[in-house]
Amino acid sequence: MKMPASFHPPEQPLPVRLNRRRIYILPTRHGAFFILVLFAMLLGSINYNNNLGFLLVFLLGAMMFVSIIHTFRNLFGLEIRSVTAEPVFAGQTADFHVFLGSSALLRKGVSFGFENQERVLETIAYGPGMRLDLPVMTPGRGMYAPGRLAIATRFPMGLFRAWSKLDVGASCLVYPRPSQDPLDLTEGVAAGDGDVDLTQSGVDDFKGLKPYQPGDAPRHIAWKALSRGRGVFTKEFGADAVRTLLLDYAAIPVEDAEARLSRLAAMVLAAERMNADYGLKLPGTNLPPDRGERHKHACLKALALFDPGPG
Amino acid sequence: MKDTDIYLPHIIIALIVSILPHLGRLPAWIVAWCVLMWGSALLLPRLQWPGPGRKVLIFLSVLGLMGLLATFSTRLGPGAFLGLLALMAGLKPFEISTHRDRMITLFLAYFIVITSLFQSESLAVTIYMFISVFVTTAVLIRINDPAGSLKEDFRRSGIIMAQAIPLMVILFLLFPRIQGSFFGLSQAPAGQSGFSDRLRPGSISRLVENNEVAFRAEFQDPVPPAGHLYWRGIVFHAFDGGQWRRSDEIPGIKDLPEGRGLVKYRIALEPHGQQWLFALDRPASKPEWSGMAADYTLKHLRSVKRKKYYAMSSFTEPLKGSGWGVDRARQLPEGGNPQTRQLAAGFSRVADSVDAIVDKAKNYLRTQGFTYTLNPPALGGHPIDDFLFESKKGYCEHYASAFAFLMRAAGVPARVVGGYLGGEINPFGDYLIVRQSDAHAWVEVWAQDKGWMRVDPTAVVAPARITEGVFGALPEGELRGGGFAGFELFDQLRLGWDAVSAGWEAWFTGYSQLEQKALLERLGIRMDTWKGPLTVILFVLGAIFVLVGGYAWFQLKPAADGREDRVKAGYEKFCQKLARAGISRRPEVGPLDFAAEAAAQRPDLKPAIDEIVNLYIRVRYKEERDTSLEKRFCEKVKRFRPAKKPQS
Repeated sequence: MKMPASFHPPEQPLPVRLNRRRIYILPTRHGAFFILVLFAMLLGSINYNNNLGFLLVFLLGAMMFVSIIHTFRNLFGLEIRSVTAEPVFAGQTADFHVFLGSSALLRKGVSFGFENQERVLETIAYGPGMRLDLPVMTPGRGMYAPGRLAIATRFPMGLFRAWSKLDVGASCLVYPRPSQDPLDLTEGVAAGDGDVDLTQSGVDDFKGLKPYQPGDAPRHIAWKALSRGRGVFTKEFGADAVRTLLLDYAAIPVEDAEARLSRLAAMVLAAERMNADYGLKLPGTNLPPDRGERHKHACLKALALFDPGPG
Repeated sequence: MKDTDIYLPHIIIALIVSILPHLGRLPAWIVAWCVLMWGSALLLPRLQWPGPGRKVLIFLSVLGLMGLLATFSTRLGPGAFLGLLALMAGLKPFEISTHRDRMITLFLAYFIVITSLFQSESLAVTIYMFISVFVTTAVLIRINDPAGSLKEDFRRSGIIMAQAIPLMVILFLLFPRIQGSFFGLSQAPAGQSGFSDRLRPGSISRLVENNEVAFRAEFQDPVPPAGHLYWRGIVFHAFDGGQWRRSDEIPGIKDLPEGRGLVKYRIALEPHGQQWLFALDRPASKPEWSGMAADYTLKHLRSVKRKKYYAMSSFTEPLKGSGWGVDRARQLPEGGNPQTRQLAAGFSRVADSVDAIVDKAKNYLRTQGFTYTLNPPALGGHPIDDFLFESKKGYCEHYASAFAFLMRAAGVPARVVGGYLGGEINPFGDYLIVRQSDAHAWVEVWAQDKGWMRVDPTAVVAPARITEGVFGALPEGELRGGGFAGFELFDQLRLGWDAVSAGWEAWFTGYSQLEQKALLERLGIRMDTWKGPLTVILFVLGAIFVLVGGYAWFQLKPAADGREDRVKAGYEKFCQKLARAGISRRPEVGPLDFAAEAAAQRPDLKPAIDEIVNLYIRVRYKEERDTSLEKRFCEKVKRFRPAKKPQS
């Protein structure tokens, strides 16, 4: 939902391979200090006309040059296949799965992370199918885009840092945080649908028999079956027998829009847990009653993306 | 384990390797300090003790600085600087909790490496420098490679170093050298062994156990016979009854000596901290940057603080030169040594020429039971008398001193000459190694008709000194040195190494402005116009570009790893073939999952798919390449022809 404030190039269609144009490389602070130390050594060698001093300075300098290539190569050719994330509830940590392909035998000490987020240091072996999980703290509900993916490395000598920032278009659906308040499912039910008692099994629809368990109501015991010597069974009545719930945004008796969404999310989860058929009514959106994982996620997605408008 | 605990031993290894060559130069307490600090840094975490806190570290630093001040007081030279570096190296392992601290500690190790180079530029030091850079870099890589192992990092360090060497050679050869010192700071004083400008009993015999090389001499022609290998260094003119001194003011020579039997040779003089240069008796020329004094000694303009190379020539049969120094060579102290004076008076009474007097004196030494020994008894108030008439035991300085005294007392001008005698011939390089233990003193007497003549009284007593050197001439058991002399293999190795090392050093340390100019001229670059330096700069930049660019091209071209193309293309082909048969792969699905999915959709293809995917995984995820397996994989993919519809 929130876009990074700074300008960034258009999204990279994945998969993307890190090439010369995408990798930047500059000395680290330590690299700059190392250059300074080398310079001091060079002055000493010039002063004393010490050939072995020269040899050491040029050896270290040349190694520094060579290390640039090693650092660069550590990223070069790395392929980002896809970046996906499962939806999470606000406040939870989203795991972004980064699928990598690598053309080099081994890349060591490569750090991955979205801007301003935790970084993960990885060694990437040669091969097409490596998965990497990047934990990202989600701020609030909505379609959360963590921004550009920063891939960086200081391997091997720590004197140079190569990095690439890719706009991989990563995003994660963040559902509203389900309200922790005690739930009264009646409050969200659309007016006119009458009273429902969701707290205990309904009595209308006979669903079947199940073996008796202590605590089952005596009036539900299948006496007929018992009298025929089949054993003790309890008649089961499905909760799905309850009249369909229509969870209505407008019916939630809370002023704050976010709090309403939060309650609705909790209600969706509760209704799904109780195998009820539920529908969701938001201003501008209407999800007809249904049940199941897919429906649950559709409802939660609608809640996540709902725009209450100004005020 | 914390990061610190993992890296600590590695960092300490790097520090030890870099400081090792300094062991002899560091005060003992600093060595102990380092051992103590590193030991406790390694041990404390195992004993579950926290390391020293900030206050303790500050206290230790102050303590170390005070110790440094106490040891070096105001002599804030390179020694004190090295001491400071070592103190820091000792404390640093206690504070390596951050990446930054660890990096700085390793930079410190590099810095300690360079300080060892200012002491010596020998081949051994050069090789050791590469080893320490190798180790320090491996540890540097280690701390930048958290998931790695030291072994892999050593490998990487070696690769980087090998790739850096061509560039290093080019920079070394072409980086402009200037003559002289840049800031007017001079070289750190090197070890001072050898002669001082005084000669007294013991001043040469103390050098016998010193096996250090004084200089090496390479002759153009065969090495002259042993009897000619008198390397002159310093002439002692004045005797005060106890010791001989070089006179203060010796003028420069007017005309270079003349003679016959010219020998030409090159000397590689080890730094000795004094000004004199050594040359065979009698020097016929002088290096342009030196001066020859009227007593035929050669002097460098400044004290010799680094290895010095010079070409020399000498006459084995010099002609009579000027009579400079004859007056000084007659002076004796007022009194003392009456017996010797009496003996001398006896010689001069009966002998009519200088030669005759010399012969008489030699004869006296030969017949009166003198012995050549390192351990003469102490001499009393009349040292020459005591030696000539009582102890009759002494080393070359005793003989030279007594002989010169005797000559002067007999009215013959005489002076003592200090230098070296002989040397060891190295068959591997055809040159002579002259060591401190070859130090020698002899006498020159003046004869009106022949000029200054060399007389070696020691040779009278111990002729073997000339032919067999000190070790052959001294009584058995007096010298522990040379204990290895019996082992021929060891000798061979030693001499072989010396030849390689000396050859390397002669080229390497001798590479300076002149050599660089010669090299550039051979490349067709003349440095006397503005075009020359510009060409060099362009050449260096071009070399960097070509070398670094070459590595980059080699490392970064996509087909650097041939396996990638072939195997990857094979797998893609396989996926395409399946896609045509209606089974497509989503990008995030790995090969194993894909194989399972595909086999579920098309059980008829399962054996073929499994075989190909298993091959693929074996080829692709293996560390080492297996070309035959790759070929088999590609072959299988080629033969894989899935039908559009399942065949029943």
